[in-house]
Amino acid sequence: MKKSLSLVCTLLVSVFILASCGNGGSSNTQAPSANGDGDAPNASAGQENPSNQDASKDGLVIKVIPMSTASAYWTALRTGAEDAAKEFGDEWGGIKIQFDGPESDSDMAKQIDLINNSVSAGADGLLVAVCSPTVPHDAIVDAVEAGTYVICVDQYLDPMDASAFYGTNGVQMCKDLAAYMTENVLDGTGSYGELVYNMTSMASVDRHDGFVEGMTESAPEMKNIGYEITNSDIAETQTLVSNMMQANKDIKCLFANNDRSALGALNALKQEGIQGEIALCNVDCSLETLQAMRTGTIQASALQMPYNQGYEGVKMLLALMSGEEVDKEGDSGSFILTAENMDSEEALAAIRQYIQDYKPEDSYAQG
Amino acid sequence: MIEFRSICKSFFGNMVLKDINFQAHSGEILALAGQNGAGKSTLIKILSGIYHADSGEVLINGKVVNFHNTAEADESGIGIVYQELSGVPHLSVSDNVVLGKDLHNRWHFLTLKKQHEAVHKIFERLGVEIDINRKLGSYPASTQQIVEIAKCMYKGPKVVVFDEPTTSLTAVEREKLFNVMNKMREDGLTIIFITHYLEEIVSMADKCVVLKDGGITYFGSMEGMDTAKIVSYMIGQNMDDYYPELVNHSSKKVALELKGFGGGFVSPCDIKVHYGEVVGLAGLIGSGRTELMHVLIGAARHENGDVYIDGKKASISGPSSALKQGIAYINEDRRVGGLNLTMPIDFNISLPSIAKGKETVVNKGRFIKTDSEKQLTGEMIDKLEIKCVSPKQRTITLSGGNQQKIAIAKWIAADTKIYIFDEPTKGIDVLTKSRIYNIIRELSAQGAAIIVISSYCPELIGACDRIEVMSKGKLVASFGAGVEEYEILLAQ
Amino acid sequence: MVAQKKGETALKSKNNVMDSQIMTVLVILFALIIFFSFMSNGFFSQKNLYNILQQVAVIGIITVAQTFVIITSGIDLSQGAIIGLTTVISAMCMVDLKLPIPIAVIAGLLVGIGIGAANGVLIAHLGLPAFIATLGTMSVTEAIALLIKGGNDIYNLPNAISEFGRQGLGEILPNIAIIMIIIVIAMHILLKKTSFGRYTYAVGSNATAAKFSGVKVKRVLFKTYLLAGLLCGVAGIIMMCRMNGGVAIAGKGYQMNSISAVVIGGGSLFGGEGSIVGAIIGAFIMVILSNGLQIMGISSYWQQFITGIVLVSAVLFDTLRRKKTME
Repeated sequence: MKKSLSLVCTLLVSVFILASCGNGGSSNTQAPSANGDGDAPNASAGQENPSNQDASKDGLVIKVIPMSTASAYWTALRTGAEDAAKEFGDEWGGIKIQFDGPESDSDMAKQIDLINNSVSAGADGLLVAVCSPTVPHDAIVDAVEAGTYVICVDQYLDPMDASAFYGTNGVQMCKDLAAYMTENVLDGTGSYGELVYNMTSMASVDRHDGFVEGMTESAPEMKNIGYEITNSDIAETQTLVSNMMQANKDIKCLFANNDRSALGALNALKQEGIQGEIALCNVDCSLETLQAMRTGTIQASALQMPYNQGYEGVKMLLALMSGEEVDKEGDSGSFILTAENMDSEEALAAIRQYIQDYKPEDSYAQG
Repeated sequence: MIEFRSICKSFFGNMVLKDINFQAHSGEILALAGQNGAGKSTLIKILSGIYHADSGEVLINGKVVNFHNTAEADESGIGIVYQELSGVPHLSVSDNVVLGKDLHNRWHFLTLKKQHEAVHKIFERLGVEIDINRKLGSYPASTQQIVEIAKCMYKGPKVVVFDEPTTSLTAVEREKLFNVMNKMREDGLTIIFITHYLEEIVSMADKCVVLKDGGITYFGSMEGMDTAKIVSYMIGQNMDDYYPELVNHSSKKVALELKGFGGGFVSPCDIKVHYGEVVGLAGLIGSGRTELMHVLIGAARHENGDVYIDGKKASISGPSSALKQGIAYINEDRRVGGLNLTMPIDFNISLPSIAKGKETVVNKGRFIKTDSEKQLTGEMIDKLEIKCVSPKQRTITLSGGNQQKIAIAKWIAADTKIYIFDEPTKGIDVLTKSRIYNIIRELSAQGAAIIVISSYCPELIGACDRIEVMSKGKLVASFGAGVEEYEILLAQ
Repeated sequence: MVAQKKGETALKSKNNVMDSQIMTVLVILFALIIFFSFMSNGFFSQKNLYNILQQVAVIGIITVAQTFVIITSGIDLSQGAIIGLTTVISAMCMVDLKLPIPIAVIAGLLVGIGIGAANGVLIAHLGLPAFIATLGTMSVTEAIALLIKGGNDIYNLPNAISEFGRQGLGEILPNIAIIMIIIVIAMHILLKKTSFGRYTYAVGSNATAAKFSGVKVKRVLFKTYLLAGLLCGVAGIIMMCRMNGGVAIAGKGYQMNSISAVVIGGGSLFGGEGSIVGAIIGAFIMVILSNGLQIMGISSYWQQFITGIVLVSAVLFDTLRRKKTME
């Protein structure tokens, strides 16, 4: 017992000695404020925040925290961020982009931890695609108060207490999508079904709202048979779609509000051998959806700007750090991609938001 | 004949055999006795070629033999029959006997006819009737053991060593084995016989060597030797009695009574045990004794009859209930059901007391009184002379004998009134066996009622006031003190 | 005599297998703290230490629960699911049913008790293997949590909830960590100093011998899983405070962390071994690893890799040491 006691003491002493030596800057330590809410977060960089730009530091660290590392959407976003970092790095002494997120959307506590730890690590700015509109809220507020700029990309925070928001106006985008479909593809009869990845995130709900609004306006005769929640699981979606089609023989159109739900729907249609007979439209794109568009299985895709969200997101952070103002809520824009326009310059630019090196030949399936 | 001359052996500076000198002649059975750790197995390993003596020699028929491995030991004429069966169950008896030394003709084909002839001859010599074409695995363990002997004989040894051959045998099987050994003795072989069962040494051996701490304390004929004398040579002090004096402490008061009691395949039985009395329960393995006790303490289903404790009808729903009513069942296999081997000694000793709610050890709020527990453990360790470095030691690190003492101590600590010992000395060294018999007698002197289950009759005769016999699930006979072993065997 | 003396020195080290494992993990913990303090400025700061305590609260409590279970040679895979359902039920009470906070908390704890009791019945009385039984209750519980609100999260909880989750004693000790510490101390006493604790070790090291020694094995097992469920309910309430919402999938998979923590701390999946002190140190090791690596900017995948290696090494080290002392 004596032996272990002295060992513990030695360890404690060494920890404290080393910690105090090795710890040059605990500059970003600011404990959370005593009352949870009520503090007005900064909408712009005009107010005093203990700046993280110590003269002693050169270079910036920006951490990109997606809602999960699973989808290719975030890879595109990351590339955008990294390109911006390269482009503007010199002015700032180099900008390092760190990319880390939970493995699945469901590990929300992990995202909270990542945000908190980024602040402890002294990150200068965060781009966060929140996994839920409310769960990471307090962590983001803490980060902002500690002097770290936080921009929410793609997914909305409620209340929007981050430094800024930059994402797609999902409602309008899907309204436009619905409009296209009713004008060019559908004949106004029959019914349509939806595949949504969840009903908790604002983005998903917005897309659903927008599409339904659009359909109701332009094709009031068409019946909405409802939506199924896919959790972005391709195999799950496949099953859901098959069941949907079994239960409703007069389905004329399917709407999938993200890329993986679309892929699941695609598989289901292929399996039944009825691709092309039921209209399919979706949000986001991937090589598979583009190939499907070539063959006429997908008629239209609403594209967001993931690359821009990363690129502009970084630019917005840099602006804030320079003391400039940015839009509290910026719209990153969208593009309705169709079989007709998919080779146009505009379309190519939009597709390259997802797949940076895309060429039209790529969308012709091999064999 | 075989002679050991000044054999010495040490491991890492520890002398495990010091100057061993003895001889055994052909047509002679020499018993090798000694406690665990005395050096018996080292000696045999030297004989079998696994170890090499540091100094000294082994002579066979006057010639010094030198071997460096087991094959060479075989060649020199030494055969060893081990306790563990090493036959191949799905081969025939005949194939097993010749395994490794198959008869080949010039073209290396096994000649079956020659093989069968040879094998038959061996069993004839052993005086055993057996179908050598049957698969080995279809025979019970005791017969498989005889095949092991045949296998050993096939190599034509001059000296045969039996390493504790009777441990797993019933009385009947033991007789069969001894018949074979006698035949081998008549045949002119030299037999060295290692056993823990002192009565066997007395009945079978011509000469005896007793080892203690690596040295010989006795080498000579069996004339005038009895179990007590052998033990005293084994432990180096005078053992007045291997078994304690059979002073009957039985009181008039009936502690436990079973009336028409049974369950499972145990037919209704009537048994009475008085306070202060030690009742033995004899029978073959599978005769239902353990099963009966399991039904008694509620570990197996009770179907017939009633139990009376102190004259009042009792209801025992499980071991916990039995414990609270003062009954202790000391399991026949301490590793499986008797002890928590990976836990410390004090944990094991105090467990039943805690489960019973004994107030000195655990208070009403279920908190353990560690000081009292320590004291209780200390008392038990002293009283039963348990050899350990600290009460916090893991039980598995103790010797078998000490483990068994703990398996008993835990119940003594729990203020038991009625003890049921199931095979209390299985696999334990001689000294501890005697100690346990003494403990049983002491407990009865203090007024406890005791039942002892054992498959070894001499033990029951030596330790119990009277003996009941069970066979095939039924109580078949009762004997008072002074019964002879054969009577019990017959009843089984 | 000779053999006995030889045995004595070996015996002295044999008793202390448990203690030396605790020493080992303590050393590892300190080594990690020193390492990360060196590697990054932000690690050894008041704020980060506060964060670490926040991050370890939920895991710490379920690790305590898992310790009891693993000592009985069982396993509880339903922990994460209990956390999720607890947050949903408790949040529902406050938001949908407008019940006062104490009632909502009790409701949440009842969830834990209920699932724990279900586990207890399946394992203790019906004799199902713990792995299978808790796998089953895990699936059912997850499903119930999702079905209740169609997978939707519940928010707009009273402010007191998120305040409780974020605040603490000064800026050093979060409230939720205080709860964890109280639980750790109380459960440590339960395990080491009460008859229930003894029965736990008895059942885990040899259930048959325990039974014959008068321990009511089935009752002990039932109580173990009941206790584990209750503790997970507490962890669920704390999770709800951290997330400020009722989230059905909160805590999913967390039992993997608690099992690792118990094993790192010296517990054996074969039962009869383990301690709360060791397990909590194990939990801290895992949280500090995750925290430190994140602060160093090392990606999550590497974090997982390294955590896996730490787990395997700790167990390997322990197994080898046990083997050595057993000879």
